[in-house]
Amino acid sequence: MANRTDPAAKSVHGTNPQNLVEKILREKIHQSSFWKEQCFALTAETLVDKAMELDHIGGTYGGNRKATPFMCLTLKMLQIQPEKEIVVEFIKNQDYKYVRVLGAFYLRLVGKATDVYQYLEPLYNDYRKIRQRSADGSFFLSHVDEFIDQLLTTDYCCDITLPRVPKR
Amino acid sequence: MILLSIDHAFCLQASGVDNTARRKWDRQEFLERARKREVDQQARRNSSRDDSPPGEKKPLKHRDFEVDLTARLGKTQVITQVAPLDQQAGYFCSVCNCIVKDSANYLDHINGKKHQKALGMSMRVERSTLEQVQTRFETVKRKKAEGGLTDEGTYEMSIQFEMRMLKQQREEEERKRQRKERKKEKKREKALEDAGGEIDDPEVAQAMGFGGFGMKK
Repeated sequence: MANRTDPAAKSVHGTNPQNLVEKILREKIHQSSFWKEQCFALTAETLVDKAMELDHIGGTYGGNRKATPFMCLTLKMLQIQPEKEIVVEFIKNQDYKYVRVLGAFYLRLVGKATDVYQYLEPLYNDYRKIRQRSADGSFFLSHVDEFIDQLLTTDYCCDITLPRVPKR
Repeated sequence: MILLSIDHAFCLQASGVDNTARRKWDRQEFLERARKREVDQQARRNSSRDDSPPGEKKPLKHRDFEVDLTARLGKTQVITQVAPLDQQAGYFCSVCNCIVKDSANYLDHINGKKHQKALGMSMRVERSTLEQVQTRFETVKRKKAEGGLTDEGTYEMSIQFEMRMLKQQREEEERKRQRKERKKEKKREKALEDAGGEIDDPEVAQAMGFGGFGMKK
């Protein structure tokens, strides 16, 4: 089934990995055309291609709460559950900042606290600009390190409640 | 009961003569038909269950092509009830021979179990390894770099540029030639007209309207 989590996937934080995204948002993503057309049968490899084509991050926007491709790819990663080395590979990638941000976001959602701090803190040094889509549909400017800071210190990012990590 | 069915009353008649106007059916023929229909249904049921055993199905593959949803958008088409399915309104799936009325449902159908089974693929996706991901990064990076200004890239581009120039030149020459041809044609026609319809007296010719240039008032 296209929307089921991979049967060989482990449970994350005590639940089906896809449940980290709340039900309404999950349904929205499953109904979106990006998910149906582009995210069908993606493996970690082909996900690389799609991630490289990303050009903005964000949660949902518009009156209809339309999901961004960034969200769709995050849910896809939760569904296929790539190994930790692959996620680290995403984060280590210097050339494509959105691939990096996607990897970081995914690690923040599924990783243990030690992993989260170990791999995300170096990203504080990345000062590149990224485009973020706000809830009303317009874009605003942000930076990679700002985003990482938001991931590590706040509870809520891109319409997803982040799991608890102990304070630094 | 006084009210007997006609058949019953009929049976009570001694003669057994069929003097009713009721329609009768040939039982034998219909028995044959029923048996044949059952056999066909069985065959159909068996054949539909005959898909490849689970071990042989390939893992789920990503679609390489873009699903074209807007091909028939805005087009007007006459459909009838008896038209074949691929000409009816909606999106037609040739693999399953069905139409779906809606683009979202069409995508769901294409991504769904039945369709994929018909294509011979199971619903499980294969897992990628770290090396695959790394090589994928490399290849895509290299491809993007090549699309830009590498030595090979510029050579290709200059060749294409040359070809385009040649084509344009050829087209120009063609056009010029055609224009000349047309002019010649016109002249010839004019000459023929003048020669054919000419009247000796120029005045009469003028009066009748066969003047040269600038004669018309």
